[in-house]
Amino acid sequence: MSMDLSIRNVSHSFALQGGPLPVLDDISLDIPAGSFISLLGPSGCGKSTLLRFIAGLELPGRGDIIAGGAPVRAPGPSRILAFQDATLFPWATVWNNVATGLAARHELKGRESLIDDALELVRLGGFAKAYPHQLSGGMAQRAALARALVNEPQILLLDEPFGKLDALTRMGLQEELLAIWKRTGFTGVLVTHDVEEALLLSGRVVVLSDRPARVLRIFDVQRPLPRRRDDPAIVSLRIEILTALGHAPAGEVAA
Amino acid sequence: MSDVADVPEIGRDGHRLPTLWAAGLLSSLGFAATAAVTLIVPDVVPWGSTALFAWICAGSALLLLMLSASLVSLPERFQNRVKAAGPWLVAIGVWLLLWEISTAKLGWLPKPFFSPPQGLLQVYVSDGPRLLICILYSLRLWGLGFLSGIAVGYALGLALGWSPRFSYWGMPILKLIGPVPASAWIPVTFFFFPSTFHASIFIVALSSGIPVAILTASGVGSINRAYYDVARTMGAGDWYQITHIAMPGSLPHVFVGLFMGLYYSFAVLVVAEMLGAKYGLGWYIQFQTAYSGYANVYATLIIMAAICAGLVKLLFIIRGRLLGWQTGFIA
Ligand SMILES: Nc1ncnc2c1ncn2[C@@H]1O[C@H](COP(=O)(O)OP(=O)(O)OP(=O)(O)O)[C@@H](O)[C@H]1O
Ligand SMILES: [Mg+2]
Repeated sequence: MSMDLSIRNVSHSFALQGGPLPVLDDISLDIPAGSFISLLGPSGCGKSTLLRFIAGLELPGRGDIIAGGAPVRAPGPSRILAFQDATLFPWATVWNNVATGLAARHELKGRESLIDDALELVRLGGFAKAYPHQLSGGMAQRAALARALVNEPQILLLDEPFGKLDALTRMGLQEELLAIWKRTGFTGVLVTHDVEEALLLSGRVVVLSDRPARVLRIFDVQRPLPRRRDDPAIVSLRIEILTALGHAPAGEVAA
Repeated sequence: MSDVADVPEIGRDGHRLPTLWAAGLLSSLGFAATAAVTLIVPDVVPWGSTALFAWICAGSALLLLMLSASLVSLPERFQNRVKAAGPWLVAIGVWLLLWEISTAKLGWLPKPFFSPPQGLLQVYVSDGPRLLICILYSLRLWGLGFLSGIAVGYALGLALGWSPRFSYWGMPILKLIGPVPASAWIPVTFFFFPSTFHASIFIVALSSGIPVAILTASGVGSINRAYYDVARTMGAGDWYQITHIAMPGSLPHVFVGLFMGLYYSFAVLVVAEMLGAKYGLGWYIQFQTAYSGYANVYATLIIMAAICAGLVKLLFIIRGRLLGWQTGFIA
């Protein structure tokens, strides 16, 4: 169950007091159904903005976004965005937060176990009744991830979902995400600052330029899943990507 | 009042009477002194209920004495609450004593502008049934006015906060009529409402509804837009967003509006009962003011203050129940 996604010549400027702020510059990407890509780029270049357009929360100034053959005009549950900040509803318990999508679409009745499963998956089983202010930053992020996953979207947009997690939890959840992806086969778009994470999870890594974001390079990661961090091909790709991003450590460039 | 400040010290190094609660003892002393002065020194003018007041003070003194002797053996939670009230109990004892002396016993604060405590007591004793009816009438008027006012105000506030078009027309109007004192509407209400009772309800409703409407609207407006984005990306419609984001998210502001509305509506009750009411605390106050029955006025004001304080307390309890999710909120 997945959709292909096509981003066609998308450009966008925000109107600021001082004049227009160009954020996206002629971005084109074709993402086949069921594939998983990562977006890498400097902070503030427009990655989150692009995800908001794909989700349909806003419309780009120019260009089109086509999902499953139809242009994206409004948000819909087939394209779920997990936000960069957890943005859990502070007035709802963790369980109710995770149930938001199903409840909003009147699909919750009889499927309550899905919520419990999703919480179990992100290891928050014991916190179903807790309120967001009782969670740590990383726990809140995991709850937000569960809230997105439980909708079984055809396109899953992840905006730095593991940003606040410690290395071990992060690895665990990366594996979980891979497993879910293999099982459900959604089309995945992951925004991350972690080059290694992009290489472990995705078939393609898109490197964006500084603002306004243009597609600088696209790397194909033709290694079977699951991948190892110390796989020589992954290691050399990592250095190539870091160089493309413009911050390869001097010692590693030689390699 | 320096003896009040000394109370904790006495309690801490009270080696002679280690099991006695010092503040309780001190307050008991205050009440006992009031009782003695009331009974022994003759009144300059007769007020009635003098003996009753003295006996109530004596009874309170005895109760406080027993309490201070047995406090250590009572449950911890109860102990803490009683101890917290200690300084106030002492202050009330001293206050009653000074009040009694300066009015009934010395006549420094003369009749009819001032009244000793037994004067107020006499009002409750002699006019009790009528006051009780007045309380019920006022509660009915206030209840109908406040509840309809906050219901309409809340709905209006949600609409103003939610719909930009509604807000475009509604917000300027609300800001314009908001500061107008409720009493200024009396002439208009006479025209629009079938009876003075309905007009009174409208005035109380207006005074409680406007702050609720304004604060609900600002509460909805203050909600982080990202919450709506989260819901929209998961396919939530307007109704879900209103009931699950706008309503819970604005609740902290709504409660500020409810507290303001509660105070305003009480303040306006006296005015509302000017409109040809036959009973009611506000009506009673006006009636007694006209006949210089100031003791009755004070006695009624005390009742109103007590009812208002009780309702405020109730609202606090409801708020604690509903806003438990807020960070750092002490329910
Ligand atoms: N609603 C908005 N109005 C005006 N400017 C905006 C708006 N949203 C984002 N921007 C600007 O657009 C640029 C890109 O923002 P965006 O959030 O997409 O960056 P990002 O690539 O996700 O950065 P980061 O990696 O730090 O999350 C920033 O300069 C930001 O100031
Ligand atoms: Mg971002």
